[in-house]
Amino acid sequence: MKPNHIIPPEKEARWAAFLNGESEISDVSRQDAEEMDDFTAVWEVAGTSFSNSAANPDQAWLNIQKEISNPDEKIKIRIFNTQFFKYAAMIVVVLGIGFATFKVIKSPEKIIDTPVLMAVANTEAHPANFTVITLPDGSTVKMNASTRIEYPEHFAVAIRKVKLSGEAFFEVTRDTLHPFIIETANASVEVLGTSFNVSAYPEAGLVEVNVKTGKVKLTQLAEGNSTVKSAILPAGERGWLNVANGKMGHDVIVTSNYSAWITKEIIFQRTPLREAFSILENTYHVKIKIENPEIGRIPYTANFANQKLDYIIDVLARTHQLKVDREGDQITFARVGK
Amino acid sequence: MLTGSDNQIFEAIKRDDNSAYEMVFREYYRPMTAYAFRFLGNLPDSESIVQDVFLRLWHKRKEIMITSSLQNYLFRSVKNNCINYIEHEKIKTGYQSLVIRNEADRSEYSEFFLEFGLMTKIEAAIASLPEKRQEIFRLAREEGLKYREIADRLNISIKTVETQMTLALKQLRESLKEYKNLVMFFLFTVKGK
Repeated sequence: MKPNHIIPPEKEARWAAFLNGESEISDVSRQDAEEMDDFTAVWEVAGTSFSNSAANPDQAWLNIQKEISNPDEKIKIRIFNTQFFKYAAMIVVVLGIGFATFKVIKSPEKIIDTPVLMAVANTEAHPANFTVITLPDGSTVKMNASTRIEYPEHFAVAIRKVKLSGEAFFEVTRDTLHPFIIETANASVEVLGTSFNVSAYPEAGLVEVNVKTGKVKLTQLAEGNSTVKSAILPAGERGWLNVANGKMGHDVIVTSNYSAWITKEIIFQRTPLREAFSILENTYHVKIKIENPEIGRIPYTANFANQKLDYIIDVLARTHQLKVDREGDQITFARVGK
Repeated sequence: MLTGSDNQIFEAIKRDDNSAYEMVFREYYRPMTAYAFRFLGNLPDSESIVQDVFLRLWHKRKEIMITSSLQNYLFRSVKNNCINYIEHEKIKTGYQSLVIRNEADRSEYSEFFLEFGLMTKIEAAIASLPEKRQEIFRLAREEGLKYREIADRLNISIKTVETQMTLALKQLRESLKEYKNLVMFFLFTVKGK
């Protein structure tokens, strides 16, 4: 940077330092006080504007347009009856392969205890590729990294039920008489026959369902499997449940990035880098850190199909002049000092 | 901000004019979000509430009767939705109840617009600082870094940070000079909280 030849008057430099908590000021003369107040006011106003500047009208307008594009559609309630989360998470029953009691819930009144031979499928944290399993009814499940699925070797008479922790893409064999239910720690996802993606990593605190075909019902579960609330998601919609505060909502799927971990096709369209990085993390099983928070807000546009992560990172870093550090699965982006 | 003509704009919306609707949206989205932010203290909920208000405006455009002004209608809706939301969640902290009490009887929102206008002004003023100066100022004010940390991060001397911070504040004060009364008013209300 060019050296600045304007030397600030000493007292103003002291005020600036005081405002940033660098030093104390004891002797402000009466005639300086007003000027000092000016500095303080600018400082305060600047602070408020920062907290407010992140609201994104462009993205919001896209949401609004989508919701009003169908004139016959009723108002969609985006915030459901929200409550702070007071329901204990359902205890995940840890089952090996062997006999276990599997509670099948047909209706709140009828609880049948059925001994079922359970199978468990697990995937590792850094798989080279996703795992595909076939369920007893012929449905297939593609499993992303660090994912666990429990399913009975024979489905119960009334329903087909599996338990999921992690992320998986389901292609469910159509059988209208036997609903297919996926249970996560806090939610259940019910379908008759369709394809959709469920992401329910416990550490994410979020259950997300992207529906490709058919219709899916997403339900929030409380202790004892009682239903708190639910939403029906048609094809092309994404539903989500925030585990921490019990908030549930749905909107239109904008990109197919939710299945990038299967297809390795990623489309960024003015996607904030924060979001882009989380998609890359989920697709390539790495951790991405940013050194400067403002990097997360940079909008990024690019398409990648079947590219190696190194290539994507290189392109992205060069586009926005970012510095990349990679150590194993940990990648850090930082701004380049000019 | 839209002025008296905003009722004509609402008439256009009633006649299904989507572009009038978009105009209102773009004009008011951020101030409304900033207003909701006062009650809720977080951005996702604030944006969600404001989007609900706008959706309702469109879906119910034929039925909504506006007696004062579109502006008042929108901000009153935001306030009411925020109050409902907070009561529903039973997360009434002392601060939030206080803000709501103070806001409850407000029927004109012009004071808030002044404040929001000021935020917009300072945003523009910050954006017009020279690049390096702006970066230093943001690191200090937005991220709360100390001079030493900024110097290390940008690989410059502490003296340079000090000089640039001083110049940034002087320049911002200069840009806001014509809004001085407003700034002082704002400072007063911020201090009061």
